[in-house]
Amino acid sequence: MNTDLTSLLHEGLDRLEGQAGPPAGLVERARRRARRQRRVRGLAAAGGAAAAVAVGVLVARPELAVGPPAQARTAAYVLTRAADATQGRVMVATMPLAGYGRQGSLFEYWAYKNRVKTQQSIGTRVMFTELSQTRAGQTIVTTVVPPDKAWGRMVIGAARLSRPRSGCGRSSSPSFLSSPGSQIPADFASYVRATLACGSYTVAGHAQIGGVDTIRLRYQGTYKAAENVTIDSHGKWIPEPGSRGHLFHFHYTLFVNAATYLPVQMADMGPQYLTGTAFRYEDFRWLPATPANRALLKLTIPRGYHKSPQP
Amino acid sequence: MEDRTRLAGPCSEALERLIASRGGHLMAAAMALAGSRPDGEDLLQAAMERLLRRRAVPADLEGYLRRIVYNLAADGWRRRGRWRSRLPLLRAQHDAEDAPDPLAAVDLRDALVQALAGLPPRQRAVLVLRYWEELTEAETAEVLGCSEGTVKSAASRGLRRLRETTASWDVVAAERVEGCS
Repeated sequence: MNTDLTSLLHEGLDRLEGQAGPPAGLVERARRRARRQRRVRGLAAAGGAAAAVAVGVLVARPELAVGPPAQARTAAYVLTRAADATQGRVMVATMPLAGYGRQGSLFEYWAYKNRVKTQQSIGTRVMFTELSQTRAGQTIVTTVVPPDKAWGRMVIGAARLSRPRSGCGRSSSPSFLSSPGSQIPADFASYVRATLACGSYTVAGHAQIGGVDTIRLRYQGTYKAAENVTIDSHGKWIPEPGSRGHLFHFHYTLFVNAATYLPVQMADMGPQYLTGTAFRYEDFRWLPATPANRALLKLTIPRGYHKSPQP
Repeated sequence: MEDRTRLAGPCSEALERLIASRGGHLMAAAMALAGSRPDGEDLLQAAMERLLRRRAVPADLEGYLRRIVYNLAADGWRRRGRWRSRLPLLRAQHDAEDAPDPLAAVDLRDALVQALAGLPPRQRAVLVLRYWEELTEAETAEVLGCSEGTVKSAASRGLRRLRETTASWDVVAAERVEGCS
């Protein structure tokens, strides 16, 4: 059976090879981008090395953070107020995504206490909906995939949940406050409080978003990743012997309503993933936890959908 | 093992030559690892960028580029996390939606390649390396920087999941055959 399957796979990939010539100019594009990256790194090395190292220290050793005390207190004050303001509310976040043609794609999140619901749509079509519920150290994830008329359920064990859930950058693995799915906790308030421990937030002035006066909070982080790394079965990153490290820089900006302290928008500029620098933003709404609003966190499996081990 | 030639124009030319002769193979591997053609192109381009940033030319240019492709694929999966890893799959689903019927339109072998995209990146990488590149378990482990045991278990799990996926196709295919007879 295995032999048949592997032979078919081999033949399938052979056929793919026959049809899969790389596009013209791919090497030239890579060369241009590599040259531009070298220039940027050169400039960073000349002018920003000290700053990068300083930020690295802040991230790697938050207890050594030595930012301006007054500003740090202000950021902490704003974030504390934000955590208080979001307490007991239903979070609704939307994040548009590029790269899906004219229709565009939209990620939506609903979060309350131990539940997070995530949904992706392309145009008006829902591509998947996922509900994560954390109970007794386990997270049960239920997924519904309308295009396949399928649904599935899986349990994520306690080991995965034991990972730190703050927005602090780590030496090997950054996590973003706005990262949804497994990285966003339903309880945003706890998350914000945990993020405070990083000490790397600064207040960066005010901004108008949708006619609302907001306080800009900026988080800047960096982490060092090996050029080639692998991951063991426990999720630990293992640099390849002899592999040189690269510093990855990222920052995100949280806009908090200056009057209510409720988060309004998050924008983040992440580390490079394959090509380019990731940039995205998401808008927040905070609803009172009425039964109707809490019902937004429900996920009903439509009649006629089949259960799939991997929907 | 590396000559100390600066990676300048001549290396770009060497890379051009490599892509001209082996581009189809590398592109197919990148597509299988990334789950779609656009993502495969991104992956291959990113690997070339990384290669071009090196100060020295690796003796085995193709082997080195291939190694970066496989590691970047796994690396991207790690950074993007579970929710983002769905994106290429969803995009592939979206693209495939307009096709009349994958089983009618494409060969089972092509469908099997598409099913690869449903596997976790590491399993995908192991299956491509083991059963297409025809590397041994030890060689696969070396490319991916993991133990042979990890390769063995990833291959076993990957094949099992592919079998599970194809089991439903068998039923459909059997029904079709019955209908035709």
